[in-house]
Amino acid sequence: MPPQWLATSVCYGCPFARITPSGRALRRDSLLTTDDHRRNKALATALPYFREGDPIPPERDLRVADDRGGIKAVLFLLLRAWPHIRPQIYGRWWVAGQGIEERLAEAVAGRGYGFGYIPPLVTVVALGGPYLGYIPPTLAYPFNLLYAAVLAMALCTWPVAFSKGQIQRAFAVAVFLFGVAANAVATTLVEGAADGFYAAAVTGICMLGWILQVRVDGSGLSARLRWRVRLASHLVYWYGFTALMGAGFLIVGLVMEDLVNQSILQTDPLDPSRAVLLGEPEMSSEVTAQLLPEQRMTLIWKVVLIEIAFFAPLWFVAPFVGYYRTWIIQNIEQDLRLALADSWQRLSLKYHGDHRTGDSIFRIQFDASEVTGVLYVLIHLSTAIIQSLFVLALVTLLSPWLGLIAVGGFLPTLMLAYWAMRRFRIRNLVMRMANADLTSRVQEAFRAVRLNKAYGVERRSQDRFESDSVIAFNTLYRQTRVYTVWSTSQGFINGSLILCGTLLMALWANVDRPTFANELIALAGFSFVVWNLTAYRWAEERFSEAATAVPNLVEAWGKAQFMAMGLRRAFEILDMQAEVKDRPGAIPLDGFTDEVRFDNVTFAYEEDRPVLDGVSFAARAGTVTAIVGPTGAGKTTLMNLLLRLYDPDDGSIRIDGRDLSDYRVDSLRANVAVALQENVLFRVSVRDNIRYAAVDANDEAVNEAVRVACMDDFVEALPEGLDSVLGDRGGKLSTGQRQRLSVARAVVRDTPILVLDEPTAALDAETEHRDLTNLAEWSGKGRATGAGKAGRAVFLITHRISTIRRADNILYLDGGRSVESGTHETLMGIADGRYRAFVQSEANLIGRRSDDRADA
Amino acid sequence: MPEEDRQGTRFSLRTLREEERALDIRASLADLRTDIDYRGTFRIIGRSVLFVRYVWLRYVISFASHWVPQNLAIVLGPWIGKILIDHVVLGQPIAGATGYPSFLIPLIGMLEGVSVGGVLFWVALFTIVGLVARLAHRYVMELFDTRLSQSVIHLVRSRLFESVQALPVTKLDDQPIGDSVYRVMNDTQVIPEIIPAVVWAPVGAVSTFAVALFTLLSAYPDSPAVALFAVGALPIYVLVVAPFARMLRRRSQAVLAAQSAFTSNIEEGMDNMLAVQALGAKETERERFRKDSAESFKRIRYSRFAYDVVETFLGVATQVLEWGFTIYVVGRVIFGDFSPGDFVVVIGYFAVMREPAQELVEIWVHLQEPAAKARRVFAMLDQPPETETGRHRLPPIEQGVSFRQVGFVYPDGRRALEDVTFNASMGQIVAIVGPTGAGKTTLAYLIPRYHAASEGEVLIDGHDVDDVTIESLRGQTSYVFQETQTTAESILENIRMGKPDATRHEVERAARTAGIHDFVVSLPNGYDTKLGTSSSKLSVGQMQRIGIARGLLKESRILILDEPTSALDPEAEEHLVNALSEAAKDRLVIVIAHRLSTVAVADRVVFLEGGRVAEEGTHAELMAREDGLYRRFVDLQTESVD
Repeated sequence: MPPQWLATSVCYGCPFARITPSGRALRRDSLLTTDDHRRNKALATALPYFREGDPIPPERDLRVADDRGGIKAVLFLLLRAWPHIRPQIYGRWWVAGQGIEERLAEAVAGRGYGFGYIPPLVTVVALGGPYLGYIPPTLAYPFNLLYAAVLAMALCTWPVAFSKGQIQRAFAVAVFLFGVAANAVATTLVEGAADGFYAAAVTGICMLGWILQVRVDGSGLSARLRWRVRLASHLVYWYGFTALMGAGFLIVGLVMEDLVNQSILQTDPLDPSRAVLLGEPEMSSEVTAQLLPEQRMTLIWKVVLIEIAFFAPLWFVAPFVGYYRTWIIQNIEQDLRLALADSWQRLSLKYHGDHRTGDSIFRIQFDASEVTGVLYVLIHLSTAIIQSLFVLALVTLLSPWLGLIAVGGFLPTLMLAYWAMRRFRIRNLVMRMANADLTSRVQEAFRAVRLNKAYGVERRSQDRFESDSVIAFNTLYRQTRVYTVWSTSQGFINGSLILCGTLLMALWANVDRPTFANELIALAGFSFVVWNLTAYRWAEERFSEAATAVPNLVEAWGKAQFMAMGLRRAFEILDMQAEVKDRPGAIPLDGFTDEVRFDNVTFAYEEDRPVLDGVSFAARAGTVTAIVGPTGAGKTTLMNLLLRLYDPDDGSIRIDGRDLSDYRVDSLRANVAVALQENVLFRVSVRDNIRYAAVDANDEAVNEAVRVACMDDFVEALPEGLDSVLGDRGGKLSTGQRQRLSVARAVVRDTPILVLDEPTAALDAETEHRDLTNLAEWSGKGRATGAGKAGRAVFLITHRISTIRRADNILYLDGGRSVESGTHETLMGIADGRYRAFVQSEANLIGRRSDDRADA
Repeated sequence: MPEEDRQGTRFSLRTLREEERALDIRASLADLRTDIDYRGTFRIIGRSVLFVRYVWLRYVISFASHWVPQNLAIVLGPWIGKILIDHVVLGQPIAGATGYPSFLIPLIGMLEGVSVGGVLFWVALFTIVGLVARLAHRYVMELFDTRLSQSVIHLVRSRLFESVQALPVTKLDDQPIGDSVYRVMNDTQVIPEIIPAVVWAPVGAVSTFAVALFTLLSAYPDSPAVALFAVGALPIYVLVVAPFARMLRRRSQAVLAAQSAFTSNIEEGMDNMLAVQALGAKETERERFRKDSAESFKRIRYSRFAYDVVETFLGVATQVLEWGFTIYVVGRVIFGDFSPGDFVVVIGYFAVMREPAQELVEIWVHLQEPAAKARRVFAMLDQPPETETGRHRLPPIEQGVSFRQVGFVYPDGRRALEDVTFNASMGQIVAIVGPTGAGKTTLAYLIPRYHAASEGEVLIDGHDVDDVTIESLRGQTSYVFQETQTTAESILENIRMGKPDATRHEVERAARTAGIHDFVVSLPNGYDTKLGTSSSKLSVGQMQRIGIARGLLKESRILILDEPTSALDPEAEEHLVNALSEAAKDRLVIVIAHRLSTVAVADRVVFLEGGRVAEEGTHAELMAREDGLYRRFVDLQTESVD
């Protein structure tokens, strides 16, 4: 994805019912009022036509000096994508008798498996080719190059097969590079097809060692040979296929172009070997000096037929190859997306409190997608370097002057690049930040639509959106401008160079000047020993390539800057240290039998403002603990600490005598079910909402939870019962209904520790009564998996005295301190106790009001 | 591999269509009529183009300044190559040169008798001037065009944002936030692409074609077949791709639906991180995320594949045409009609003429995805906003609210209220009481017209709320929601949302009344403390008090509080209840509550059950009824206290 940006009948709110059949849509549009037009016009002219626009607010802007990039930093960012790309290269092992393994395959070899059979095999084949005369056993050019590369490859396989670690890796890279060289020599420098097959066979055997590995178990007669095959190395398969296809295109293209230019458009006879290959021996240069018109006509038909034979199969394959490629790339992106999501899940709520949702959306959808381009850019960069050297050498062979001109362009190109790159990075980063801010703005505004309506602030929200939208566009404009300045200047450098070279070559062709390394060129099978039309046309193209090779490299590097900034924003999230994490050696919590103990727990969201200040109490299994106190006393926070949504700053929380941090976070949360005060529901069915944190819960468990939470009455009234899909954020249910769903969600998990945070605040007294009775009966059953004989520990946060008095223990919190604790009776017994005052104020409130009314 | 992934491997068109339909539903219930026919597609494209009227002059400038140099390049470009090849490389004399178009002959004539060096000099000069002009032009136009398309996107997305904000409250449940975000941020980007594709590209293609054809015919007047080949390309291309349009459109729509559903998924998950972590639902959430992400990737793959297939068909047609043409031209060269230099020129022209034909066809192909996006934009722009039926402003409220046989049915057919009749006058506190799901909130929503009554009428001072402007109505009511939302601004800003010009003193007074002042000043930054987006800095009770302060500060004639005390402790509740009695002196306070302590303060109690008014009267009156529902409701609470 580029970084730019990026009903059925005439019923209530079916826009197309009004549009499609009658065509009123356009009419509707033409019925726009004058005000609408004026407003549209104002919006369309809100941005300047050409200029930069208002400066970006300093707190959302960065200066060039803020850049922390540089070649090393950017390369490092690109290379960090490797863990996400790796699976597509290494693949997975298919082990005989076991099937495909889950884990990622090793880079080269490992776990006793190896490919010791490869080096001898490769060596035999490498020597056997010339020995058996399959290809000429000569050391003349270019066979010397070919043999050197093939032998080097074969020799390097020995250390790869029989060493370990760095050495093995270094030689593996050597085998790869020699393989590339051997195949390049075989396809380009050596005539004929036999050598191509020879090089390919040797390479293929080397690859085989990487794909098929063996292990010998036991020794002597009882030894058994085990083997495994590397599967799913998708990128390797895809690049292999593309390389084959590319080589085919190159060969067919070169040969056909030469045929058309020299023999068909002009009258040169064919090279003898080609004449035989084409089945036209009478056109060979040994037979005739000039081709007749009829012969040339035959030849063009042959050219077309060969091209058909080559292209037609590709037509059928092409879409599938494209599909395969997309799939591989998407696997890489998916991998990073999941890593991001995991990272966010790991981060504690301290981070999320200030994090904007729109920012996450932007990071996942736009920043992370840059990972798909990394491989392309890296390969593009490395091949561009090799290619530019190669073309430069070729052009220099034709004339050293041309090479000099091409190299002369490097200096201004690099100076320009030095100026441009840091600006690319900064402008792009600012653009990404501005668009993430805009996304957040949109998300926050839409979340608050009801509120905005109620307070009539839609206009303000609209103005803020428009101002953020303009800022986002201005940042994009600045990026576009710096890029355009670079590309224009670079275009001028390129154009001047190409012009110089072209004119020189035209002049040389005019005077038939011999080419520089004409023997070498003749050997390579090309017909231009002197500058002529073919040489001019061929060299013109090559020279353009040579002159633009480094600029192209710079361009690819420039795009890599943009990519790196996206990756930087993605990796920022991966790099964040989770505050709440498993300590090494943490054990799973698999049950709860005795007690939960808070010991002198202290916690602050922000420094200087303690929310909890030395809270100590214990809750035994099989009891209900009510946590009571004024708003903001720290009740919910206390429970959040029990879930390890945060870690206490001081003091400890113990379950069955062990500190919470001794347990794995996941296992802890799996043992604590909570009904939240803010009833968060999702846009799935009621059933899935209930099972949200207990995916495996069966229907029976769900029905039981529905009964305990007193949901039956309204679930029955829903059109599709438990399978009714809720609206956004659980819309379509009243708050009381959502609250009960939240309780059901906690119940269905059937955990030994249960936290109910104001479970009945939005319920009427009768429902509350039923609900609490059910809950009491249910939690008394004590059949929770993992709970001891004593049963569950229930924590209940509430203001309702009717609920509180049923509790076995009451903890009265005020200002983050546990002021009183004990049973209802004990606490009521304290003469000027806080709890007593609390209960009385509630009773008085009801009593007095009733009395007032009665008197009136 | 999970179940649904494996199912995906058994591919059939029917299941594909069903899956896509399901995706549309998941993306947004508010926009279900997604499948459009040819006429619908044209209409959407037409409507996109209509946006041009606000920036038409800039589009004309942009097009003209692209079109002129482009055609100059076509007219002048190839001849430089021919001059170099024929007269420099091959050394043919310029005098008597053939194959140049008539308008170039005088220029070529000027080169007559010039030495090779001289020819090279003029070619160099001409090229350098051309290069500089082209680069300068490109620089200016790049920036001009950037601003132009930004202007159009800004217009469209601002309008779209407005439409989403104007959605009626009943629609909001059906319209996921993530989907709206995706529409505003992504779908709108497409509009400026459609305009040039529809308006200029065909003009450009046809004119390029015509100019090239004219030049070719004047250079090779005796070879009409050359032109015929090029002209014949168009119908061939049309035949090849015509049947694929709907397929491409549907696949693109599925991509958008899946992307939108994925956006909603992230939006929901991230916005509710507290719940996800507290419930220990990491795995559920991860799986949900994985599935939706994989689904969107799958749809992208399918769509790309469909496009690839069509591209391949086009490629085949092109290749076949090229072979035919090459054979023809080679024949002419072999038999001496053309020079080898002509071959280059003619093949070049064939490409120049074949391309516009291909482009014309590709416009239609490549419009399918933009049409799918633009459809989503217009679908939202066309959503009926909260219907403003009001014709006059509501004068300052003097008397009160009365409900006359009011009924309300949700768009999906659920009945919430039936035959509700009661009066509430200024200076009163009216409590709406009843079991959960009785329709209390729905009833309260009717007063500021968040919902419009389906039956009966809601009157304020005798004016039907349907007849007064929404602005004048809502300006005089404030609504404190049951679940308080805060925005990512300072506490000060949050409280004075309804009265932006309130002084600090007024804000503090409202905060005191709501019982939040002491807490706020205890914060290091006091009233300037920024609230985070997910508000974990405040407890639910504190948020509720900020909501109440917000409602009080607005000082409107009618104050509606939806369960204002559910998360408050008794002391805070008492404080608030007193404040309400105070506030009720010169306004109407409507309070929805379960808590007897809050209800008991009311002058009137309306007891709702099953959407009907079951009982109505003062607390004392209702308590006097032996088997009264209200009495039972009260008894249940007092019992437990004693």
